[in-house]
Amino acid sequence: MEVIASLIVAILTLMAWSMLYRETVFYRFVEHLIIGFSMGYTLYITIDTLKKIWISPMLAGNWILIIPAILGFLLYTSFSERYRYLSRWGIAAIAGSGAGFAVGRAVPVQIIGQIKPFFLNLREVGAPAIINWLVVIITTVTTLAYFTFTREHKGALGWAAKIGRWSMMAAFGATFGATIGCDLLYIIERCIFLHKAPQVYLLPIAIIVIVVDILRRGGK
Amino acid sequence: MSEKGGLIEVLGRNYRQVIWIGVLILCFLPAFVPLGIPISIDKLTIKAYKCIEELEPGDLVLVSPDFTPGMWVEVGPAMNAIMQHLFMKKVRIVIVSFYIDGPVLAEKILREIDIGDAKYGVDYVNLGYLPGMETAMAAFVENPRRIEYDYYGTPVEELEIMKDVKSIGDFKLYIFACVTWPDPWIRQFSGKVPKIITVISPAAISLVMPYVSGGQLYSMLPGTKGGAEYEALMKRPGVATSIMDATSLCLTFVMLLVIVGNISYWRKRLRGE
Repeated sequence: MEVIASLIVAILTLMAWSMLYRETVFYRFVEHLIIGFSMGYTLYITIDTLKKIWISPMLAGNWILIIPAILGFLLYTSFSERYRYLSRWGIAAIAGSGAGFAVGRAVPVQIIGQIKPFFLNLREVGAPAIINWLVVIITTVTTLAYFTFTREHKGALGWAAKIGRWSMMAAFGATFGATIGCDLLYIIERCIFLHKAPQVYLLPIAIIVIVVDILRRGGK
Repeated sequence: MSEKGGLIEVLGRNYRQVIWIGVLILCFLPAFVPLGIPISIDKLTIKAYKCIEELEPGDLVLVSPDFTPGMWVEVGPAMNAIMQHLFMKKVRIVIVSFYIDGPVLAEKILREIDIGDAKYGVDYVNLGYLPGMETAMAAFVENPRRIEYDYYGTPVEELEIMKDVKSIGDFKLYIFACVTWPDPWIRQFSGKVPKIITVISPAAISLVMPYVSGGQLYSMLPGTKGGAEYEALMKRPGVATSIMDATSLCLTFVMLLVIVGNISYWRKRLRGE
């Protein structure tokens, strides 16, 4: 059973990779399969979750759960031009509660929590920590200066904004580099999977299929 | 660029294919010929390892595998390593997911690691998916017993492990894995559990580091690299370790391409092309 499962997964991987050669029916099939599976799974989990956190508790007597249910169903009125305005109540509840919980915790965790480490006792920490502290201070202040649009970026503000722009470019560059590294992981993991038996025997078959197709299409 | 020309021009015209073939060769090479390129272990990985090492058997640990199956390779191997360590330490694990795919990924992790003689409902539990993202996190932090059924539909009261879970403060450690903006998890759980460790995509490291230096996060594992480092600390090489050889080779190749691309660009610019 494990062998069959491995072969199916390997075939689907190679079908998806056929896109690297050219747009093929195999790639299209895998694309539709993934979307179908994702939707099926999401639907199953949604229904299962509704059963656990809404239907069962409500049938057990927790009737107050009817209120979020009504607000949820109101979202579907967005499909009707006449009753679309009702969907705003549901959206308001979702956005309001989400923002409320987020903002409430953002102050102690993200604002005060992030400002606290700035207050260092420079006599107690070593040189690397002081350098790091200076880098953080300079990049934070200059990045804020870059987003100050109430004054023209000239003189000291202009220089600060320039340093801020370089700081952001360094951060975005690091993120972009890491993203490229992550993207490679997807191929590497599949290669490690494909090099194992029995799926490794599919590789020469895939190469032969591509070569035959190239010859059939006259080397295009 | 002229149609005729040497090999370099032909390669230049078909650079996408050249890059793909180069990457594929470098990806497959270590799979057939293991190179064993050494990896340095980051101090944050050591910090995370020591944190779990200091846990006592029976301590409660909360885990959230909040990513999608498509992102498995970015954080999955590291989650496997860290979960393996938790089971080896015989701590009690409560898994709750704020992502719809979380429960099935938790199943995958539990299937792939050696859980020893741990019993479901006694030593670990999968509470399934709690919808609502940050709102759900806030609700769970306020009262973890708000969930009435586990992933399999068993009432939570019937699970022995949940008898000791009365508030979020009962957990000694919270571990979450995500591949996106980690702010919601940090906002809701910081200060509520003694320590938080995140397993995060390497692409999001720059987003997480301020929280590590600020103390809101105790430590982090940067994706598969972190997983490989963790496997090295545990002396149990796994998938993450096997991925690192090819990653090192491919990233060197990418760096070379960036250098060659820049040289080519500046040559053309200086020639006025």
